[in-house]
Amino acid sequence: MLKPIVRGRGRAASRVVKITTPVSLLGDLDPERGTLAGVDVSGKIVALPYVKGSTVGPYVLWGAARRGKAPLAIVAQKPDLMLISACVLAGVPLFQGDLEEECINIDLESGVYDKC
Amino acid sequence: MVLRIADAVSGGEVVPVETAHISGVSYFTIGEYGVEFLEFLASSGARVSIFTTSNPAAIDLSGLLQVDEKVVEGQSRISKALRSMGVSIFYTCAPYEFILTRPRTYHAWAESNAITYINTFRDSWSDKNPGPLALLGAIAGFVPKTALYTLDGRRPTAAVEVNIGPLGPLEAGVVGALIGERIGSGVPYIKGAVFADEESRREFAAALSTYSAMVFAVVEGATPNWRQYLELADFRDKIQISAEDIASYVRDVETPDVVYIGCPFADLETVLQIVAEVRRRGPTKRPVYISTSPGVYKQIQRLVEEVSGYNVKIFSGACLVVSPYTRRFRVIATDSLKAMFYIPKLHGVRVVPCRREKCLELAYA
Repeated sequence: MLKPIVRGRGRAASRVVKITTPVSLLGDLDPERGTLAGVDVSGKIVALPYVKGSTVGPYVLWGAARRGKAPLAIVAQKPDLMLISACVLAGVPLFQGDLEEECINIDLESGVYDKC
Repeated sequence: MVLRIADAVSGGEVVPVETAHISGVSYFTIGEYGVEFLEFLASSGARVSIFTTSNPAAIDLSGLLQVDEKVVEGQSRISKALRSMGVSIFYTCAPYEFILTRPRTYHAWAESNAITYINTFRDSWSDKNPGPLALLGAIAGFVPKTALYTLDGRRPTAAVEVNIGPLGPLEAGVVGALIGERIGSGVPYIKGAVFADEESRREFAAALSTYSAMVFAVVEGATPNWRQYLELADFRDKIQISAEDIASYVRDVETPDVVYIGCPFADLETVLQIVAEVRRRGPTKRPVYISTSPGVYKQIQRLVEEVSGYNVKIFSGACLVVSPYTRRFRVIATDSLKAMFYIPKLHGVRVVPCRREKCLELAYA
């Protein structure tokens, strides 16, 4: 089970995209194409260590969400204030924990998941 | 929204703040949806309840950086929305220059170099409140009571020894970046670091927070209350930074088409030093761009006009990180590690590091 930080609603099945290095939402996230550090994350669950860099980040995630290009959910090992603000603003569920690159069924409110 | 964020980060606890400084006010960085968000807030009648200042914009105040019509229009919509919410639109990334925050007071700032500066050199407390949260906090008058708003959360976790003489701006930036890269998170306690001038302190603060998630370091002998922090320290990491580490960053550089100084904004002393050098040596071969705060700019307006004839372009209210004007360049030489990080990512322009004297040499080469 993942620890819910910003709760979402409902259940979803998705592939997990794992990014192993810390990312900056400003610069690394392309809100037009829905890519993060060059990897397509639009509509997918993204697992990452933590975010770093510019405090403009939340607007960029918000922008991605308005374009329908945001991740389905973000799973961070160390969620910080900036990532939480970004997720509240953009309406992207956020969990604390770690996932491998696989397909999972997840409850976006509780963080309970199992393999597809 | 502040309370919803507080629920997630501080068990619902909040802390009242004295001032706020918001980021995400350049049309280039926040884009159309950022503008819509600000206009939505403004049209709902929101107003800030504390003194609130703003970060640089995509356009400078004197129109030196020419950008296309769409950016001009977007920027003016942002300014209008902020003004109607009561924000003091100061367009600076160095608000600490005129807001003299006192030790152990609470603030909601959102520009990472500025947060790191007041935490580190004044022991004024601010967490990294991302652009929208600082604005929402400025409206509410409080922000979530996260770790950096508690003494316990400011406990040093890593001992850093710096074995190098006084750090100039470039070296201070490299030290900040190295600490950031090697430690990543926590609170560094730095022994042996002496900053040569104000610009060095700014470059250190900017680099530490650009190359890591950290916005607070205790510098022995410089941070107010550093003795108390040393008593509280619980060191889990220990690192050393040597002259060789710094040298590995400063390699021979390729020839730039322009030189850029002022990320974070250059202080008055730095601008005057460069002006004096240029007056002595005559016009540069390659343009030298210097960004500074509107406050400094106003004080030296006559000099700005004079040195524009020497190929030195001083501007304020914007910088080459947040303005799309930067895209016309191929290679930029700078003493700022923060500019070195963001300009390639945001504009696809190459950036090479140099000490200030070397940067000026390149301008004459």
